[in-house]
Amino acid sequence: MTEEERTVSVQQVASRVGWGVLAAYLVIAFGVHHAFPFYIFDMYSMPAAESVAPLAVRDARGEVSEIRTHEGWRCATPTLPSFAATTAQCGTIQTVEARDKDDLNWIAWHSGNGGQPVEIIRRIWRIHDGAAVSRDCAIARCEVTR
Amino acid sequence: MSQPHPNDGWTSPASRRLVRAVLAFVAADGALDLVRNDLAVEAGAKPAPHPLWLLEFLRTHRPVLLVLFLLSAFGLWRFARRGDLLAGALACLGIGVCYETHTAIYGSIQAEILTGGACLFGWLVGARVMRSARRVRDVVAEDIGGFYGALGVFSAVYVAAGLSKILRTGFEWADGGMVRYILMAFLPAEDSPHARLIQFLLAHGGITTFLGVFTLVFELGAVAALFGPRWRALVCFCVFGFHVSLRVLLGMSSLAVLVLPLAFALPWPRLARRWQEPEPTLTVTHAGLRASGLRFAAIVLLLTALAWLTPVRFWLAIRPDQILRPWDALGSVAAPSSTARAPESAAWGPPSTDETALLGPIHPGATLGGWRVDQIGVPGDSRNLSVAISKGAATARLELVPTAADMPRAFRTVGDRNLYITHATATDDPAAAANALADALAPAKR
Repeated sequence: MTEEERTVSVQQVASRVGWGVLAAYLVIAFGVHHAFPFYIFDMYSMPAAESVAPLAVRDARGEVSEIRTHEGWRCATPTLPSFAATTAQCGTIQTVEARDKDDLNWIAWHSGNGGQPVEIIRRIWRIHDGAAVSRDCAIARCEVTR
Repeated sequence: MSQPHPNDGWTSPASRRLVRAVLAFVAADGALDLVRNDLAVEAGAKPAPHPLWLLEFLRTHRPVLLVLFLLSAFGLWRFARRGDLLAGALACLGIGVCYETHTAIYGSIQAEILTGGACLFGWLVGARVMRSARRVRDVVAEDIGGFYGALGVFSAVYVAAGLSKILRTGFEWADGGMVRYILMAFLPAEDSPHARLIQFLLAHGGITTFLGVFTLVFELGAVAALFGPRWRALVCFCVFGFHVSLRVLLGMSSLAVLVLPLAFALPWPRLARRWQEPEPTLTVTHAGLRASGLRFAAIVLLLTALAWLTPVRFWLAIRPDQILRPWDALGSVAAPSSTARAPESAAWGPPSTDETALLGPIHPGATLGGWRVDQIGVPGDSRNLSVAISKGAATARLELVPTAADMPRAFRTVGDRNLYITHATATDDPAAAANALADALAPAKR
């Protein structure tokens, strides 16, 4: 039997397949950055900001709650201000777009006749003396059913 | 566990079929989520046409996405049931088209769905490499190759995340600042045990620093999953624990992405002493291995050249003026309120002192990659530092947006800003101008 004809167990060489695929995926992914199925998963690789501003709801009594605890949304036209306009209104803010998208999709999918006036706010968090403190910036007026 | 096979990698025919089925489920679950989103929300403002005709067609004919999903789901079923690689490949392609259409609509990146799709892709590649090496079709051998191919991609996902952090910010993640940022972003507005838990973590910098260090170590260490079965189990349980913590603290991580590391970790059917099948001794010749390896290397070289040398990033980069941002979708919400916002002005304001310093030698009249710089400033319709360029009758805008987590896919990232190409009237030339701008700015940010 020649060297070429000699056999080896599939199980013994299978991990080489894994190594080859791992290396190939990394090299191609860092080239395209993001094209299915390649991605470098760098969504949290940027420098940490000192503050972050998720969306929230403030009712007429001043109580703040999560957007996804309300239904029957009805908002003023022409839609919420853009991210850039919000920045102009509230100062430079950082957000996590995944959370914004979930909140705003909730509003879109739970629309209704409104009834109770509320404000959509950016709750701007930062660390001060070891604790997270916040200030609120209203960005839009809406109504909710409950 | 049964008596280990001499070549035991802690897998069995049944456990590999289980992983194959889990991959199919995770991929289908992710695609269904995408298509459901795309069908549910109607566009408010109509964005400018997407330059890629297929994505533009699907974006404007969304019921076709449902048909595409159903066909892909059928392919995944055949892949899961019979190891049909062709059906799996077609399904993977269909899911990829659904994914890119979703991104074209919303501009967002869906990391979890990419993980499932990428691992499926890895299985298909590994199985095909093994079939090519053995030169005969054998589902058991293909499953072995597929398992390790999928495992390779599964590891690569986390290694890529870790490398991205290191390349972008060095070891800053290890100081816990980013962990605190993410915790604050998901801090509930109402007082609750969940909110108090996050406040506790934020008040103890040592814990968040530990979490930052642990994240870097386990992401870069994910490569150890290929060292052997014990390391694989350790890595997979770390990944599982990581995603459980994301789900508890942040409400992130779907059930599908929790199931995936568990499926890889241990041969569950063997542990349960169910579906015991002898592990067959399958062999491959050295000649077959070498030929298959050379073919694989050639394909990888070709794809690498395409990835690095062709403007793929430009073709697929998000143009913010073309995506349906979440707030744009609310144009469909009925509005009784009389409060109307004044339309935003299209006039350009001057850049700030910092922004002028950032742009350095770039000024109106300068040349970027063969394009002329017409204007620099902050347009009223976007409020982002922008550079208006033109080349003959073609025009475009280069926008520099401070980065935030999970932003839409940018053309390039320069320091702490994402560079987007918007309002383009041509489809390929602006890439040269954008690259020239990014290259001009990059040294100033180091």
